[in-house]
Amino acid sequence: MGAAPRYARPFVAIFVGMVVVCALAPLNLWPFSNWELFSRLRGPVESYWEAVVEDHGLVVVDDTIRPHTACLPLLRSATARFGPATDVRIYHVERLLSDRIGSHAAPPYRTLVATCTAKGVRAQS
Amino acid sequence: MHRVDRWIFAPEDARRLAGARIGLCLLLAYRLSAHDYDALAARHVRFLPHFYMDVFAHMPSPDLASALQALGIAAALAAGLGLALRITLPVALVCGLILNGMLNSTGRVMVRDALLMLCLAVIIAAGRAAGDVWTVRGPNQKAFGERYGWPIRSAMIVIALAYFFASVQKWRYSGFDWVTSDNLRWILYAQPHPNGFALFIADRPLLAHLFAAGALLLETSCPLVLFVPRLRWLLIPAVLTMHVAIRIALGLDYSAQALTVLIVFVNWPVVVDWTRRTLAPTPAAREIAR
Repeated sequence: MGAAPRYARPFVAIFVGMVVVCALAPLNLWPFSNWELFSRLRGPVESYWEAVVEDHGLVVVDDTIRPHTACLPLLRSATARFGPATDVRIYHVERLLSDRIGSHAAPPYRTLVATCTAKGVRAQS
Repeated sequence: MHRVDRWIFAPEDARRLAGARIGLCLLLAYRLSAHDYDALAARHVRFLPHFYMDVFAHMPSPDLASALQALGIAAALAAGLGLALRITLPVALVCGLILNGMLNSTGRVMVRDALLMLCLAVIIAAGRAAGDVWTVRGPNQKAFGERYGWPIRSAMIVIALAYFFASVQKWRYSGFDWVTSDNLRWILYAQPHPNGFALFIADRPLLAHLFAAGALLLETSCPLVLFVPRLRWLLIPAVLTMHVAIRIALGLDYSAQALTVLIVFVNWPVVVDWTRRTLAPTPAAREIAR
């Protein structure tokens, strides 16, 4: 009555094994996380990429993206929502963390890197 | 190995497993109710599926998100009450996985509810044992045995490993510089609007080093809670304090993880028995003599 089921030992071995393997590989098979929480050193400069979509002159989407995110899925999502004439602009943003105005961060430096349009990618020179 | 096996499969009070089931299910119901998933589905133009979310061609629709949210909350509450556990627990877990998968498919995978999901999976693996006591339907008889112990101890191992591996990754990618460099100060400054607490630490390098050293030491020593039960009185409150400090300083909500730790490590039968003894009127000496 009180004994553990027969599958318990293999289950524990596989389950704990998955936790260990995902952490050491590392593989982020959520919820089997790699537990990389703030593990990499931060420098004094913050640098990231942003995808910006404008609709009638107003910024409607302003998302942080990965450095090598492909244009096509971004454009497809944007055109599905805002129509075929929508462009997605990719900015490289840099911020000096110690640059502050009181308790607020100073505005970052934005550089337009590329524009994703229906005709293709237009890189900025 | 034999000692580890004996520890994991040691007999346990059925109420401890039931307490974990109730706590984790209530926590899942709360977490599922705390997010506006249909708004997320409607708002996000990007869908970057993470892992199992590849089964979806695009972000689930707002209607589907709402339905999963309602179903997940209902199933989690029913599982907490001990109703039809073989159905309600897996349904609650699957709803939780999909809804969390939606959050993780917006460009950034967050640890957030990972520990809660892993511990719930262990409770599901416990099978009927999780519903033997403290249910609305069944008789609340006392039970004790191996079948109630291994899920609790497995969840403890997973939690201890989660914190330990968080430290392993810091040692691996940053080494001792994680403590001695200005890393924590930059993390605190990197927020768009750091509050007074964050700036108080970030503006004082020595204090930032102390906080970094404390966090790394705590995470590294977390597996000790498995071998030295007395250390739980020190390390578990320290972990909870760390999450509160992270919440205040960085605004990051790890409440699901902190509460999962609390639910799994608290010995609920002891708490309930102590509460009963404290609240129940003690018979007077004369009555005992009679």
